[in-house]
Parts: sequence; C-alpha cells; structure tokens
Amino acid sequence: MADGTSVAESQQKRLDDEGTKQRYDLLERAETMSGVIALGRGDPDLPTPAHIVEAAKEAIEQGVDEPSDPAGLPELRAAIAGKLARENGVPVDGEAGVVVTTGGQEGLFLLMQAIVRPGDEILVPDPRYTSYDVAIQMAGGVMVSVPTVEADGFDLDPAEVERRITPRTKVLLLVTPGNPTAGTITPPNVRGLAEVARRHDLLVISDEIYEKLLYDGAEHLSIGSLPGMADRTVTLNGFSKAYCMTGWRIGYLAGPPAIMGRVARLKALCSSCAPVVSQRAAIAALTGPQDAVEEYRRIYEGRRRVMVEALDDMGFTYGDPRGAFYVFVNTSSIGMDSIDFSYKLLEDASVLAFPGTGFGDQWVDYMRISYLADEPELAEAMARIKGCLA
Amino acid sequence: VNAIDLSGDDLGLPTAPHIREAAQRALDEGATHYTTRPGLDPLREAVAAKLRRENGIEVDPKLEVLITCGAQEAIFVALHVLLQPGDEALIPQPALRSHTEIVRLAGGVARPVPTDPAGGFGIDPAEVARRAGPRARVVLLHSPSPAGAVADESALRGLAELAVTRGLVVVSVETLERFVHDGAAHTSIASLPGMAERTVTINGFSAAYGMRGWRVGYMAGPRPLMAPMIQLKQALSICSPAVSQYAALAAITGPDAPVETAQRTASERRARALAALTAANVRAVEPDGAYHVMLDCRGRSNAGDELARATEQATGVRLTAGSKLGATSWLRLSLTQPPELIEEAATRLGPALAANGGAHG
Repeated sequence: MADGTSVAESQQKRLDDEGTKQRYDLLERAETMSGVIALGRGDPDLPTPAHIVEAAKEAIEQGVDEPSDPAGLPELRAAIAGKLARENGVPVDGEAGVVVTTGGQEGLFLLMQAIVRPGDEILVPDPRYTSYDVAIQMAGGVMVSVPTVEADGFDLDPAEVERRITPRTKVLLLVTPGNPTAGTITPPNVRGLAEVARRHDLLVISDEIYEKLLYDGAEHLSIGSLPGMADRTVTLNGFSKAYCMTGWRIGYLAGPPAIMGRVARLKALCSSCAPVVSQRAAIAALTGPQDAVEEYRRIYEGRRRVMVEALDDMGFTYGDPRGAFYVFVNTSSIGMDSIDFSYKLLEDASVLAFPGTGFGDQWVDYMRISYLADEPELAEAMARIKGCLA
Repeated sequence: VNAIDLSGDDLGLPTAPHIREAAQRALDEGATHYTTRPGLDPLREAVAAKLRRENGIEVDPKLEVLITCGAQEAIFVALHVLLQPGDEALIPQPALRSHTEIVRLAGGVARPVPTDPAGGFGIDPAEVARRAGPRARVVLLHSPSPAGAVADESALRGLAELAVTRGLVVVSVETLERFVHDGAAHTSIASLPGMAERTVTINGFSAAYGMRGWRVGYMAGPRPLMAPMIQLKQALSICSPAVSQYAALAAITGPDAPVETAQRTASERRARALAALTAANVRAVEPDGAYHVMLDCRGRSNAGDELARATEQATGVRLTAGSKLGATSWLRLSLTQPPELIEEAATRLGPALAANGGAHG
C-alpha cells in the first residue's frame, strides 16, 4: 500500500511543469541579488491607477468582509457583460454567463475542470504560457501543440490548426495578443479559426488578457463576436494587464450559461469567491475613466521602441511584437543556448529575462524579454546585454 | 411574521478597524503587485510563529507554509495533491458537503465515517479504522466542526495511531479552533507524536477575524507534502491577493481583541439559544465548539431540503438542511443573528419541531 506521503511526492513531478520551474528558478535566484533589472515576470511595474486604489480603500471602509456569490458580485458581472458587448461585440448574459475568478489563471484551471474529459485533446499554440499545462493535465486533457513561427509574427494559421484535429479534439485555446511571443492573431486568421471551430464543433477558449496592449495599428478581434461563435466561445480576461492589477488577483470568464454554471460551482469549491475588495476595485476599473489604459499603453510603446532599437542594433531578430509587453527574441546567433545565456545575464550583468524553454522545450534559441522597466533602465539593461555578448 | 435567517456561516461581525486600516495603508504603499509565490515573507513567518506558540506545531516558514485564497483553496489544493484516482478519503460526519465534492473532483472516493449524536458527534477512531479500505489515504478532519463537534485529545491520539499504522495523511482543518465551549479544548493533531510528518494543518482568518470576503488562509505541513502543494497553488492562482495578505498580517500580529469579541459573541448566543431551545422543547445537541447547533429531527416523516423548507414555511425561520452536512434527519441552527432573534426563532420552532411531535411529525 502506497503511503500518503509518497503519493504527494509522486504528484510533484506532474505539477512541476518544466517551463514554470525554469522561470521560477531564475526568479528565486534574482530575489537573492540586488541591483537586478527584472525583465522576467509579467508583472507590470506601473501602479494600479489611483482612482481604482481609492475605490478599493473606500470599499474597505464600507466593508468587504462578507463573501459574494461564487460567480461574483452581480454589479461586477453586469459591468463585465456591458464591457464585452460594448468593446468586443461579444454577447453574454450578465447573470448566468459570467464568473469572476481569482485571476485569469484560476479561470483557465476551473474552465478545464468544467469542460475537459480524460483523453480530450486541446489545441494550444506553441510557444505557450506553460502554467496552462498543469490546468490541462489536472483535468485529464491532452495538449496538442500548434506551431507558430517568428517570420509570421507568431500569428496562428487556421490551416495548421485544422491539420491537427482528430475525433478527440474538443477545445481550441487562443491567446491574443500572445504570451510569450507578443504576436497577435490577425483578424483574417481569427475569422478562419472561427470557421474551423464551427466546422469541427470545437469549443474555443479565447484568452484576451493583453487586448488593450496593441502597437503599430495592430487590431484585436474577439472571436466570440463572430457569427455562430457566442455559443461555443468562452472569453477569458482580467484586470492584471490592462489596469496593472496583478496583485489583486481578479479576472473573469464569460460564455455560454451551461458551461459557466459548472464553472461557478467549481469556483465555490475551489476558493468560495474572488476577494471582495478586488471585485470592488474591478468595478471601479470598468466603470471609471479609461484614460490610464491608453496612458499606460503609450508608456509601453515608448519602451518597446527603446528595446527593439537596441535589439536591431545588436543584430537580433524577433517576431513582430504587435502586442503585450514582451519581445520574443531569436538568440540563435549568440553561440550558447538561452538557458545558459539567461543565467549568464543574471550573474554577469544582473539582468533577469526568461529563456524560451520556459515556454516550450524546443524554444532553446529564443528568450522572452519584457519591457516592464522605465526607458533609462531598459536602455541600461540592453547595454548590459550587449556587454554580455562581447 | 418576519423572516429570521439562521442558515448562514458566520457571526456577521465586521473586520476590525486596525485590520482594515492596515489594508488601506498597504494599498497606499503600492501593494498592487504579485507577492512572492507562497505568500509574503512576514506573513509566513507570523503563521509559523503562531503555529509554534498556539498549536505546538514546528514548521519552516520558508518551505512549509503556504498562504492561500482562504482555507477553501487550501483544502482544494491539499486533496488534489494527496489523492490519486480511486484513493479514499475518510470524512467524519457531519461534514460540509463541499469536502466530499472536492474529494470526488480530485478523483478520490469519499468514505463518510458516522459519529454518534449522543457523544456530540465526536470522532471514534475505531469507526474510522472500520471504514478505511485498502486505498485509504487521507483523513479529512474538521474540528471544531461545522456541526459543533470537537475531537477530544484521546480521540485524536487514537486517530494519530491509526494514521501512523496505516500510512494515512491527516488534513486538519482548524478554522474554528478558537470557538470551543464549556471546558472543551482544541488540540492540533499535528502536535501529537508521529503526526508532524503526516499532517497538513489548514487555517484561515474568516471565522476568527470576520474576514470571509478577503479570501485569505494558509496551510502548513512537512516539506515533502508542501512542495507539490506550493506548485499546484502557483498553477492555480499564482499567489494570494496582496491586499488581503497585508490584512491577514495585521490580524495575526495584532491584538487578540477581535477574536475574543467573536468568542464572547458565540458563547453568549450559544447559551441563550440552548436555553430557548430547551424551553421550546426542541431536541438539540449541545455543541462543544463552533457556532452552530444541530437540531434532532429523527423519526419525522420528512427530512433534508424538504424538512428545511417545511420548517421555514411554518415558522419563518430559515435553517440549514442537515443533508448539506451528511445528516439528513437534522437541521442546523447557526448563531448568525443577535441573541434576541435566535430566542425568538427557537420559540417559533417549538411547535414545529417539539420533541413530542409537532405540526410536521
């Protein structure tokens, strides 16, 4: 008979996806050092806009002590449905079609538990945010990677998706703008993907958490807004990236009530409800002035220019970073793999960036560098990287 | 007749001002970013110090403490790590139905362990042993329980012996530890010989500090058990909300007054509820812990949700159906309202539930 303790130990391997492990090993090492310019974690350095913080403080004064409905405060769910209708053209029921989650990551975890049966295949663009692997694995799903390439700006080709569909394919996961690639799925391809989903009766999960961060005229198209897609799309979004609210742990899922009802039940089991103080802050974010969103986007745009100019100067190539706040850089020219280079960068130059292998095994010749530092600091980081190459 | 809702889960006390102020201050100081993955360092240190001081549990704050989005997330994480498909979790009854549901979600098999109402629903280790099949892996202990039961030290020693012999892990949910009555005492099973290496202790701030809406709790245990739990928590929600962690830090390092107020509130309501129920001739188990009273409705023609509904219709008093706790012929009266309302509810319940038969008997 296996001992309970040994069961836990055997679970460790399953839970510890290699990509996340690599990222956190570097993060933990960086935490022990001083003077590190951190271009690793996707945690915006900018503060949550002041009016949102004030609203949260006011809410604390009024009392945020009682839990909400597992699906979230009705006022917040209505505001989310309003936002999706207005900005995204995605029709959802503000009561039964929205579940507020403790961050987007929990949303994806619960959704996988709600819809995946053992053996179901989930199509996931590669490279990918590997924390999602655990969600798929814990639900018994099988991840099927769909390649994307630098030359296309890591856009997702509907034909590549369709080629990988089998009788067991159940879900297509889209992330646009993407992490770690900063690529976007261009509107013609979003339309093509919708056709594929309809043709093969797939459920689409559309992770749109970076939707507000677009550059050089890139366009965001929500697949849930296309004809025949509302019934087969769950839109995942949150407040972490658009409003710099990572620490609040607040996001949402929106989609067909039949699925969202199951998600709400799971949400109750998993963590009762999202923190009420954060839900209040989220209401302020959605219903208050939106100036900060564009102001922050402009700040990122300036930093992005600093970064790509420095990368160009060093002769690196990268996928066109049309969104988010990363550049996925091709490092095949530097003469060492990106894992070694990440450690060298951290130890010799005090710059933290993640190796491409943190986002899928084969991305050994790429690195994800985020531009979550101000322009002078970024310029300094790029100079240090240049020094490391010499 | 005005409705009286005694089906809630908490005493309805607000979060103390010094805790709210600490949360507001943290926001002013920019606590809007991710924290370190397992939780704020000072909070994990404060949790470890609390466990040493109050519970006799030694853990390393760096590797053996995890801050979660409430005790609920901790239970979810613990059972998903400990159970593989087909593994059994032993759950002394009455227990929250959500515990059984999480076991099933994790692929496990829930084995309810009956307890004797005459013994205050206290756990009998021999009964636990009888229910433990070859795939038994976990005991999910919740003491004080949401039915008011408190596992006494001798029962816990018996349970500990069984856990050691059978290689079981005990998941000990201690969220109601501060609510014990009439000389009952709370013992943390992890403090008993041989148990530190096989116990995951789960606690939170919701009940003791009136912080249910903040979603913050913690789990602590030996490193081999905690390492995969820290991994799963990261995959699930990255870290717990920063502002709530600062509120929790103020709670755990601040004055004990909010908890003492909650204890006094529970204790006074309990005494007045029991007196009023006795006067109304309603059979109830005197709870040793928590702030819930189980009402005995055995021998009636109706049970479960139907019993709760009929009772509410007849009296205007909303109670929790015992079926939600695996005790279908019982109703649970929670001390969630001021004592005058509880007394009035008890008086109204008399004719409907009285021991010698009633309107629905």
